[in-house]
Amino acid sequence: MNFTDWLSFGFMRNALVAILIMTPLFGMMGTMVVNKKMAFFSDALGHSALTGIAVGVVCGLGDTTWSMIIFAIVFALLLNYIASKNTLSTDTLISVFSSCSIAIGLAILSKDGNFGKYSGILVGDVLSISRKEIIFLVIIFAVTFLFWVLAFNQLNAMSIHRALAKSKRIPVAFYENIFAVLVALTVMLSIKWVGILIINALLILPAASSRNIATNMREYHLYSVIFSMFSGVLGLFVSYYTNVATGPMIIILASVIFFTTYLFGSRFKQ
Amino acid sequence: MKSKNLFVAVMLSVILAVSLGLTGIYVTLNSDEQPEEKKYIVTSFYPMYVMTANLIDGISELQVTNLSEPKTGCLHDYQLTPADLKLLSKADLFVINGCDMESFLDNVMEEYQDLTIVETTSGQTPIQGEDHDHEQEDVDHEEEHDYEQEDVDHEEEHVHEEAHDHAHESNGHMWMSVASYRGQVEYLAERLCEQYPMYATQIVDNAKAYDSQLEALAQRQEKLTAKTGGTDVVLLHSAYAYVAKDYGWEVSVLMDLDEEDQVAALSAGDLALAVSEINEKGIRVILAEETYGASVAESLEQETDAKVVYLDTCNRGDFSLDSYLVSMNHNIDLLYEALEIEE
Repeated sequence: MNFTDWLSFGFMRNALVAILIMTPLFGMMGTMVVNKKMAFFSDALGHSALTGIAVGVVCGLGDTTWSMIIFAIVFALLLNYIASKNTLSTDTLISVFSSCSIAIGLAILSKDGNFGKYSGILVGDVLSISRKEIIFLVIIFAVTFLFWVLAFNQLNAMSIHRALAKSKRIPVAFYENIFAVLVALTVMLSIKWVGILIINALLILPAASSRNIATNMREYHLYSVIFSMFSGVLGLFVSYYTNVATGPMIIILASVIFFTTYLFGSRFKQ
Repeated sequence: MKSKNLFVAVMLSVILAVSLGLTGIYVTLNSDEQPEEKKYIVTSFYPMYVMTANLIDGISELQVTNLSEPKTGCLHDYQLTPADLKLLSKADLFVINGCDMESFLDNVMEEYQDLTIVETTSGQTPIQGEDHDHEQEDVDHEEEHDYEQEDVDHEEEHVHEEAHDHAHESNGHMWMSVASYRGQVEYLAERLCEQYPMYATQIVDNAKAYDSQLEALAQRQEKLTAKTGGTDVVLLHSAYAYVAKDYGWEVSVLMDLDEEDQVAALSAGDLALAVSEINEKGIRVILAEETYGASVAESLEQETDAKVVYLDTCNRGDFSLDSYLVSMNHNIDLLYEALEIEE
């Protein structure tokens, strides 16, 4: 068995580059998603991709990436807005939004019994990563990283105690919206190769695993990024040789890491 | 802190080792350790596989493999898998049909500049354009058929043909005509001889043997032509235009139903038109493809006296050498039965 021939293909090199850019981003943002208990929010966001695609199809767009991204941003902002206004619990609200958008997406895409055409996006296709997409990934990486450096303390304060952060004159809604939009962008740009069904796991699992063993913010970030990149690269490698879809393979590895840290993590927490 | 880093390092190493180990075992178990001297011929879809397999039969140094084509649905929506790309990367020769049948290859062929491609329909003229776009046909006519300018005209065509996102410019289903298929086999044999001069005698022998079998098939067709030539037929898939051509039948109505959305997009008016055409001309036979055409075919059958014949498009099979012959002979049987004539 030759361990390097996977890199002789252009599409595999593209996939590797995409994974090297995206997994640290997922690891980094995941920490905040987990801290802010937004796992369900990002899950709903991922599912909204279906509706985004449907909107693109209805509008007759050739490339549905744009409609997907725009819809996700609108969806995220709307969700944030309504959650801050309403008395219903956020959980319920997200569930309502998520089901409603999936229903609309499915209704449009499955019209004429044609859903098979789009079922690929549920599990993702690693061949779909092109150079153009990699440029987008680099941009979103740079923007998110900058945001993290500049606003991390505020985000952290908000995640610990929202009302306290507000009383310290942190524009809570503003930061929450930017964070939601960045999560939306990150998720949408990776969804084509990771797949709608499991994209959220990529955001949650590394951070959750890291939280099992980390005792401070620095460790939390470090381990999360390491776990995310490790499962990403190894998952791509294994999936190439075993003909398994790449997204699911990455998530399986990330889950193994989670369960290991979950079992042995408590001894590092004292 | 230190013990934690150690823990992470150990955990990741163990996962890495186990994954690599299992992957290694998987790869070793699944690779059928072929000797390196073997030359691989890859074919794009089933009829191409069958014809190539017949021509290189008995030459142990050549091996033909088919791409993992779709199990269901339309070839035009097919997406290549990483396994396909791996297969192509070790291929010596790539046998395709041509005539826009392999549109799924457009994006990947840049990666394989060195690969020799044999387009088996070379030198034959396909049946042009489908009639399903009546209003625009005259407008599009010149652009569509001008291959030199294909890239320039591409977008324009899309605007015209939104409803059929893969409307074919030329009908590529040539293997459905025995005459054209024989032409493809002949051309492929020539190209194989050029590529592998050391096996030329064997390839020529194989080609002769296969062609004599195909000739017998053609003779069977001729008998039917003699009895039914000039008959009007209704086609529910453009592939059957070649069947009609073989028998000298007139195509009265052609609906190209090779996708579900096209079936759904069919209006009641289209159907009514077909029904009146069938009744007016006393058409007896409707040729349909079972997967997509069945619903339309059944309603036409109920409304008229015509009989539906579900012809095999020879697109799937058990990879046996006589696959094409069996399917085509079966098709002829079906036609005799439907036309209610004795052979």
